[in-house]
Amino acid sequence: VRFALLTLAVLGCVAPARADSLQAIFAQANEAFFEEDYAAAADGYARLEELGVRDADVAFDHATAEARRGRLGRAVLYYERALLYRPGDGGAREGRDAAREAIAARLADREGEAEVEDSPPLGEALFGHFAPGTLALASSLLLFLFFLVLILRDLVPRARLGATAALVVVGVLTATAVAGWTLRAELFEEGAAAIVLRRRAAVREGPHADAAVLLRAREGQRLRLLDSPEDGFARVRAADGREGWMAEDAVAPIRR
Amino acid sequence: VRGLARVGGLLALLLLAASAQAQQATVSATMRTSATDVAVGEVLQLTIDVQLTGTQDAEVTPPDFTGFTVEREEIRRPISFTFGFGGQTQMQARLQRLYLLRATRAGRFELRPAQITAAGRTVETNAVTIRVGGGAAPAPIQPVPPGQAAPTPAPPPVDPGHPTPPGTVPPRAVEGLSYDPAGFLRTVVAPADPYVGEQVTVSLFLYLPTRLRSSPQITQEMSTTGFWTQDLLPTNRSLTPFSQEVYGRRFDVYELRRTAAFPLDVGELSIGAARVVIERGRRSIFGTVGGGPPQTLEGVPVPVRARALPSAGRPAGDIHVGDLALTASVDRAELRTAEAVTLTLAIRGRGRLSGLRVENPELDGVRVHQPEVRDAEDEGNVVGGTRTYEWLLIPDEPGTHVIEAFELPVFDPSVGAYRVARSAPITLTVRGPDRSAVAPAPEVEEDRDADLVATFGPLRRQAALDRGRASLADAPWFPFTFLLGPALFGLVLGARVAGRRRAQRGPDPMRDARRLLQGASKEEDPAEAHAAVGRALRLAVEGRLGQPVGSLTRRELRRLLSERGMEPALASELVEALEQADVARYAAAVEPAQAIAAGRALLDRLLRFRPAEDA
Repeated sequence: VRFALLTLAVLGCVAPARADSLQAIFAQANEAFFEEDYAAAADGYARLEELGVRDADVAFDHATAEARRGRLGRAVLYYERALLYRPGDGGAREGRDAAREAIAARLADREGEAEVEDSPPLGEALFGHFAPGTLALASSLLLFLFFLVLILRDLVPRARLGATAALVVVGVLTATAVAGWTLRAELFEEGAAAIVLRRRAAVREGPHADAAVLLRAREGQRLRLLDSPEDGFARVRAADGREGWMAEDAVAPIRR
Repeated sequence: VRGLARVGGLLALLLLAASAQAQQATVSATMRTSATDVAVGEVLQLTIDVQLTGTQDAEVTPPDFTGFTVEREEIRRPISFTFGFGGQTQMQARLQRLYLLRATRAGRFELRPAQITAAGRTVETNAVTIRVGGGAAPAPIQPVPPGQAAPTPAPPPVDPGHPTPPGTVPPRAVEGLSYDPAGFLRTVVAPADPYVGEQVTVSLFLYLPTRLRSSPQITQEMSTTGFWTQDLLPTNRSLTPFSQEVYGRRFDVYELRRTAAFPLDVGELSIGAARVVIERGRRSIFGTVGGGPPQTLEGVPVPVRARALPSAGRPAGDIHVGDLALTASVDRAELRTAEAVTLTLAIRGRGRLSGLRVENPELDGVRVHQPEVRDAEDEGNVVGGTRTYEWLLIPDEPGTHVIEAFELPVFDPSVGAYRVARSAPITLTVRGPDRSAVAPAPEVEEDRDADLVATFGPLRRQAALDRGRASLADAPWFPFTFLLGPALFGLVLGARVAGRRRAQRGPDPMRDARRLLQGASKEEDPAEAHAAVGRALRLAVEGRLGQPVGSLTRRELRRLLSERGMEPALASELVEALEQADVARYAAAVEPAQAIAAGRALLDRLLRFRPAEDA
């Protein structure tokens, strides 16, 4: 009993202390934002993230601060993170699209023309409003239900017709959920989804600055980060399948 | 006298020999063509020239004209005479066989020697090689009018110097024109099967047998849908005709249009028909005077088949069709940080240079401004010139900065091969303090403006500050939940299969009999134990015989067992055991354990018993 009471007391002390600290950082970051000190605001939100906060609203605010200070590649990154934490976040989706449009407009101003952002991955286009975890749970439950209906159909001959219809419905739902989970969780994709942070970031043939440039990635563009960065370079794969090395600080994974 | 006679005889012999020599015919022949490089559809003249001595007749066997069609054949005898005296007349003749050949397909054609047979002898001419290109070739025989730059487009089918005899060969329509002795328009396209992006030169000619009274009016231009076009003729020019003979008729030829057209996509394209209104005139001592009302001439459309660039050896990136040479330079190679240097890339070559795309150089520690682009076009029939890019570079970091070689992949249609045009890399040596700390890095450039501020936001002031709850799906055991359904299904299925197998096996009297004996051994009441032994033995016997035996007497049972092939000893023991079990219910003669053991032994022996029907 004493141990339980002691544990409760410790938890009671620690939990509010953490919340106060995080809240204070969040409030300070917000204050900097309203004072249009977007750099300080972004630093505050980044600190929250370093402390383990995986909150869609914090990521949204971070993205907004980066966008207002003109770092649109980072804005895309944090809007994507907000969507990862809360897939149905319409504000984050709008912000991300606006950031991509602003990148394209800026590019067009500079170079005369620009390609509009590439289409989203198939998983996001079809199941963007569902978190991968939700789809995984749904897949497991529906698969169990599928076999339950299959057993019922076998054991109760009188209910065979109705059970067959239910089996088809549940089967389709199961397949959809499994497909959605597979796509959203990118189970069969190598590496991690990442965002390019620099303008015209060079993808080189080798992990050194003298290597030939294979292609230039656009700010805010999606890539696959194949390995953990080493010696300042990360191996990446572009949407067209070409692989190369990019400066470590020019690209960041969406999922931390 | 004898000496004179010998000399006279010798002279006579010599004269006879000379006469015989003079009487022997000689034949020599050559073969030549008016052109050895022609385009498909063009006409050339092939002449077989035969020199004959001592005979006038010869049979000419021409070579195989595969790859050509014979438009016309003509025999001429420009020279034929005799000389000499008496019966020693000498004949000399020249025979010409002319063929007008039209090339039907591209390639290199070796025409074998023609054979000439005369006075029983056969000689051969030389062979001739003709190269036929894919499209119309520059005109080899067309007079170039003053002020026109060569090469001019291909001429229509003409036979210069050899007018067609009236009424012999009717003129035939060829691609690009509809022949009319009163005048016609002709569209010439070269080449007719270009690669995508390759220059096609399109010319529009006006053919008139009489002079023009005024400038022709083009009321409908040639349509060039699917092409990027550029005019090749100067805007202000005089319309000077040149003469050309077509099918034996002399025409004044006016070049109305000359355009470079670049196919933008693969497939069948067409240069549309033009329409021109003319006013004819006629020559007089006062110049050209009026000759009639305005007349409208209409051309014909000409197909162009644009081919895809070959896939073999194709380098990556946008391909320029034509030819390029790249030269990169800087106005100074050594400078200090924050000083500007101008990088110039000059791209010289043929083709559509305006379609070139050159990426800005990427240099770490050097700011690269947007380039200034200038174009200078060459004059002439081939589109080309020089495109120049000038970048202003401002190095922020000291050290050596290498400007990588610029590379542009090129397809040269004249040789049908790819190559990569490259400039040389340039090294900049920069001294001075590092200014990268004060210079904006490319990815952190502050580009704040009112639009961005208005677009993004508003801020979310409330947040749960969630620290990332792990989803159930992230648990290590979660994948096993997918096995629950299949496992349950497998269990149910297994149970059903086992039950079905049991049902298929049916009743097993021997097994049931053993169970009865097992139960008898646990029975406390001896009478019940003996009764159980009796039931077990009866059940076993009925199972083996396949018929009930409960109503039979001992004698009947023994007889039945004997009839079914059971050994008499076993039958007796079995009948006695059954009787003993019946009696033991009232007065047991043996202990139940003994009876059970005896019953088990009998069951074992019954297992080996095969009734007569089953044997």
